[in-house]
Amino acid sequence: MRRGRGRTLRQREARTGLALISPTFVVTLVVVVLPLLWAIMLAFQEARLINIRYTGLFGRYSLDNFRYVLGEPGFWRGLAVTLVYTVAGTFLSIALGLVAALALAGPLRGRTLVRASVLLPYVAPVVAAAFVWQVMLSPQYGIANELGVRLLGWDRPIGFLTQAKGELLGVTVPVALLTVIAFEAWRYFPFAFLFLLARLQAVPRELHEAALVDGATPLQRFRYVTLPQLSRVIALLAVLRFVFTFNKFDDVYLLTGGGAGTEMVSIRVYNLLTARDDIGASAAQAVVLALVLVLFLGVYLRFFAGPERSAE
Amino acid sequence: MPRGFIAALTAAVVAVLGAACGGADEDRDTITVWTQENLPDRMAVQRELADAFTRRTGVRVRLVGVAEDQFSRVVRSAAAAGRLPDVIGALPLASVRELEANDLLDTETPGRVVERLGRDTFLRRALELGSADGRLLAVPSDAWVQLILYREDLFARAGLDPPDSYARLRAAASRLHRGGTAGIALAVGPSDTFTAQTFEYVALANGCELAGRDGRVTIGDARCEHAFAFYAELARRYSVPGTQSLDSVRATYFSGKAAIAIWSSFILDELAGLRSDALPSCPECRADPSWLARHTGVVTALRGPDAAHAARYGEIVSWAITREADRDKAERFVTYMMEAGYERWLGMAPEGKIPVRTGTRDDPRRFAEAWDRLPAGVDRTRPLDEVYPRALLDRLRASVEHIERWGVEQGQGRLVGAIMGELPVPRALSALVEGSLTPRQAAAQAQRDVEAVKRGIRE
Amino acid sequence: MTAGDRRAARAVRPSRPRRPYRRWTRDRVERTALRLLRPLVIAALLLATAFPFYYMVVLSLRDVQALILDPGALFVPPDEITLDTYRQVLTPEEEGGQGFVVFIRNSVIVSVAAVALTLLISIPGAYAVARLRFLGRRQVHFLFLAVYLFPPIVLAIPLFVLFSLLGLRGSLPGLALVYISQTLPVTVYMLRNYFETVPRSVEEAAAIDGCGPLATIWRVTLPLSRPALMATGLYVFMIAWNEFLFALLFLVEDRDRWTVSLGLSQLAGAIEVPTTVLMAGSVVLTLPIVIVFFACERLMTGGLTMGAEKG
Repeated sequence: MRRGRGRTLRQREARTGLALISPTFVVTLVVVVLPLLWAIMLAFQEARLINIRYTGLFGRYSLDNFRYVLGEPGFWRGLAVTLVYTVAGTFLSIALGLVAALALAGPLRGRTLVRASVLLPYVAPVVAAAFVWQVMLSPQYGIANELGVRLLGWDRPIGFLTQAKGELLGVTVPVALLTVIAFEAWRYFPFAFLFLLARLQAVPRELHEAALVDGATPLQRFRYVTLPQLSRVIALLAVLRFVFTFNKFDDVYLLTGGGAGTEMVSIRVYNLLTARDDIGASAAQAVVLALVLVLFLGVYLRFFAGPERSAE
Repeated sequence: MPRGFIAALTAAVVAVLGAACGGADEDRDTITVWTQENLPDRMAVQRELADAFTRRTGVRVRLVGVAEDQFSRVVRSAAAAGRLPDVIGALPLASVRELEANDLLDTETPGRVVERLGRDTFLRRALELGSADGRLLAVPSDAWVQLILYREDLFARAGLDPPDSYARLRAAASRLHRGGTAGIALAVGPSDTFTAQTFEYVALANGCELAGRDGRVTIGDARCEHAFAFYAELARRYSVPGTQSLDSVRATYFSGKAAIAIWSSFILDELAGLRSDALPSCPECRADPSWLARHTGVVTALRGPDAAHAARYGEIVSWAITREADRDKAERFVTYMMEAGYERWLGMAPEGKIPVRTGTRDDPRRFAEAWDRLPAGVDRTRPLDEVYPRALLDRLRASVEHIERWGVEQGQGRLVGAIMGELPVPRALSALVEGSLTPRQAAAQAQRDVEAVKRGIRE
Repeated sequence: MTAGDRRAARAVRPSRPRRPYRRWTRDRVERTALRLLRPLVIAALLLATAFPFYYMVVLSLRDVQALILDPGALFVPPDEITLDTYRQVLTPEEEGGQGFVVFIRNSVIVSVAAVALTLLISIPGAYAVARLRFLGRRQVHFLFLAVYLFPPIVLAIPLFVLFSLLGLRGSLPGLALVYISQTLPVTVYMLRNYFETVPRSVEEAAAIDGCGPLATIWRVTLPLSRPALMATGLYVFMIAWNEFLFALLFLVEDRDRWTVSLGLSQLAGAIEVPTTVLMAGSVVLTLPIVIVFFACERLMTGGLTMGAEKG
């Protein structure tokens, strides 16, 4: 045992703890926190890759970028699209995950196979999944349009990913946006499924048995026993999925490139960065995006997650 | 942690960053030259020219080919990493403006080069288009012009006049659009530079401008709306359906399936059957590859109903010298390429490289006359004046003196450079041709999109 | 619930006038409906999740001409199966193929490097947060979580600028470094949860035997946490293999450096490459990760849902 020189075990532990955490902490600082701070700085500067060597790190600071970004009509459209996409995607993926979890909770023959299949959309690389969907929905040789034209009697193939607006039963619907939301739900419902299934299987049998004794029908059991047990997980899932979907770039970019009314804010940030070489505006837009998210999270945590925090 | 350790660590970090930022140690005797003439056979010629330059001056040249569509991206990365070349060759007007707007050009040396070579040996128009605020931004080297090609035999049979105005073009296209033949082969593609160029030609012919001297975007004006409507009418009613590209327009005209086509003067060697992978395949051409060249008429100046005069469109490419370049060596290189190496340079593809420097001080017509005899073609070569009448070659050379371009003279070069990437005008045009917009809506959309780009420049 | 139970249940409740036995109680209706629905739902789930991948494989075995002629065909007659698409995908570029082997190599390099780096850096930190009490422990924990919730694109911008300034774009090790910014928070979280479940008594025994904290981790905690380490390592590998945004930003200019994800996305936009060849590319991209995942499935799902069970 090392001699403490008067230090208690607790203090030694604290010192070791700090020493151990420091590599992780330092690396996180360098790779995450510093870039984040720099991004915020860039948001206030007129910065472009093409002349960044000549403008220097501490150039002029101004609100120009924010004024520009917030003044573009495309930004507000993008924000609306992002919100619709996020809310709908989150809701659908959790709902689907719940259905899947309920269906697969009980005994089942070939259960491993079914579970494995259900996880496929989540595990597969996003590029491959997006590409398969693109091909399936292609107006020229996609199977969806083939079936639609041959079996459902459509008069024209539908450009699921290229059409901004379409008519469904007399209502104008944003075709591409709906398709992209469907993809989101398909790809991420296994995530919700996993969480929900784990929780479902941990619900104590006694609760179910008591309900049965009271004569509850399956739906009633679901509503009064299962659902309350799941509410915590559903709340957690809602937060996680909301955050991840709000920040999403890959899926939508690969499917539509942001066209046909699916231009999310993250894609705008990317386009400003690469196509326009406007780093300052790109950073400003990204900062706004992050702020909106923090705002939503803050509201949620304040109003909906009060009692949960104590469990942390 | 001990203080000494921290000091050492900091020093190490600084050293590493410094080394990385400082860049590799440049070879004292070498200059780096980028060129947009990146096709393999042309690279070979440029390599020979560079070697000849090295033998003459002892300065080594590192030659790098950059594709036109990659140029913006490559320039940005290089600029950020501090790895810009000394000289960039075959740079289009818009790119010159883009570089200048970002302070990347040395704008003194080009002037010196031109003075030394003799200002009046250059075409005035080329110097005009290459200057801003009285300073020459880059040394102009050669030009190509946009042409309207038409089947003289079909026109003669139908008793039609050459299509040098909107009215005549429409009349000819509609008259000759029958059987299996399209009236006209026209470029239409939403992200296509060629479509942008073709449309700009047609629009300028009607007096339509992108923006005015005051910076106001004018692409939504009435004259532009008429240009949009005219182009869409031709594309929809008298042309081949679907997206049309550089290759498909040429192929359609070459196969005899179109009576008219709009293409750049680069087509002239292929038209004469001098390039194997782009041979005219019309029924009459099978026996005689140069049949089409002999029966094609050429119009360079087009005029729309709202314009006061006819317009010609083309591109002038230049040698640019970058800010951090080794100016002395760069100056010598560019001078060499515009003098001793000039004929060889033009000879890479003379039909698309019309000289903007007509001669030397001692022999003011040297290059202009030599150009006529330069061998054109890739797989077979023949001097231009053997294939085409002298009158046509004179017209081509003369056209360079009247080239018009959007935005350049109005001082809106930065805007022109910025829309190069996003191509808002072809986007609106494609939607119009497809039928999802009316001409007025297309013009309005183009106006909005260009204004959005302008706001993005924030100047 | 047997008939006997029902009678017993009825007997327990306060007496009510006896009703005639009805065949269609609400309970019955619901049970029957659910019994019918369940297989339908499962079948629908299977179809929805597995069909696209089946389609991917089928298309990768067909000729592109055949596809255009008959897009709706779901079965490939054995005589039409062609492996030419795979051959095209894997042959190097100089020989006319798409050169996916190079991409695979790049992806492997980056993913393995990311796993190694992440584990190396996160293990001490996770251990500290799990075991040791020190000032700022809760804040640090919160910090890691908060970082994970930021849009990755916000991080991408300054890193993009930095790498451009240093001329490091197109550098595979650089990309691996960037990936740890994505993977560190999750890894610390996952490992922390697992480390907390390692019995303290074993560690205390090691401490009594004279092991310092690092030695304890190395000799005691890690061997006991092998499942969690594997799960975490696999998770990081999966993230790095599938990652797209950073690869797009940093590697796109140098074809030799493309990862498989990036390569497939770039070629999907190219007109000259037939769709069927790209489907073969998709299979090549997806197969390794699916195999790896399902080989260790139990570990992964255990790791991911560790928090959920505490409810």
